[in-house]
Amino acid sequence: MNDIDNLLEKYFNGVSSTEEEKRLKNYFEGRGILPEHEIYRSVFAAFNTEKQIKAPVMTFPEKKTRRPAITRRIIILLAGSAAIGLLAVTFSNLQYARSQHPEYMVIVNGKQVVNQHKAQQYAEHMFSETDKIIENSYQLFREAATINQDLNAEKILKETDQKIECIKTNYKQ
Amino acid sequence: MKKLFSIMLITLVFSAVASAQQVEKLFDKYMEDERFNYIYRKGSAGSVLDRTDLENLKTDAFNIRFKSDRNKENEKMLILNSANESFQKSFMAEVNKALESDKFENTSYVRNGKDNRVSEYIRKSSDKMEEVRVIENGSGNVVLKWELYTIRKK
Repeated sequence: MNDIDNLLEKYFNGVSSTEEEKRLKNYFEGRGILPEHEIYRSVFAAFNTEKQIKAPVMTFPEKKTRRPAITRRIIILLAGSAAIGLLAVTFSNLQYARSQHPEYMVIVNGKQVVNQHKAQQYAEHMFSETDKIIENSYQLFREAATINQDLNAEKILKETDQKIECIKTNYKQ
Repeated sequence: MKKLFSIMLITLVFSAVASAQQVEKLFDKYMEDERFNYIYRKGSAGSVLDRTDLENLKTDAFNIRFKSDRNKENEKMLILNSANESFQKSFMAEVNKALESDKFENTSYVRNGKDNRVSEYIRKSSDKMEEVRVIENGSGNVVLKWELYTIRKK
């Protein structure tokens, strides 16, 4: 028991080693504490508490921890999706607005023809005139195709052969 | 990295939409210009019989219209009536640039005389078809005609 008393004395004098403090701790955690030492139990019970109230260790975040948190990533993703969705809706609305023309729309030299009947007449006339010009321009193609057909060497030779054949037959008779 | 990706994606969407319809943008740009006449007709406007007053509506054309596997959605024209040949040239440069940008294919080009030209351009997708015709007569007159068709699924 003198051993424990000596250790206690060293401890309170602040000269005990770590090993000695450990022994004291084990002694006061155990069951065989002598009655004269009971008053010190609460002091040594503080060993564990002391451990618990240690200041948290300051840790510097590693590179990995710099990454955005999952919630932040989700927010970025949602924001991106929302932006794309908004764009899609905006442009589809624009397309819809574009498709909301009246049946005929005529603007002559910067002034819109408001009367739908007049707009229709004008539009039909102008589309007709334009179609005529286009039709006439392709007329040359059709004529060229006809000429090409007329000048087909194979066709000419075949027809000539038929004529010769016809003349020969007539001559024999 | 994510931010960069998001910015790239948004830029891509914007540029795709912005460069998609350059020809249509030309119509929007000049439809109210005093030098132009703008005419629009919805494909379903009036019945075909209402249009028989058109002198050039021929029987075979009539048949083609009904046998066709496409529906005309709408058509529009921009007619430039300007004596200013330099403006005609700059407008034609814009038209050609827009057609090129929208990836239209030049399917025919007819030149009648010195300055009269008719060009046809087509662009097809799985469900739509666009036809553009450009008529020039060299004295400041240009007709830009655009037709939109939807292709019927068989």
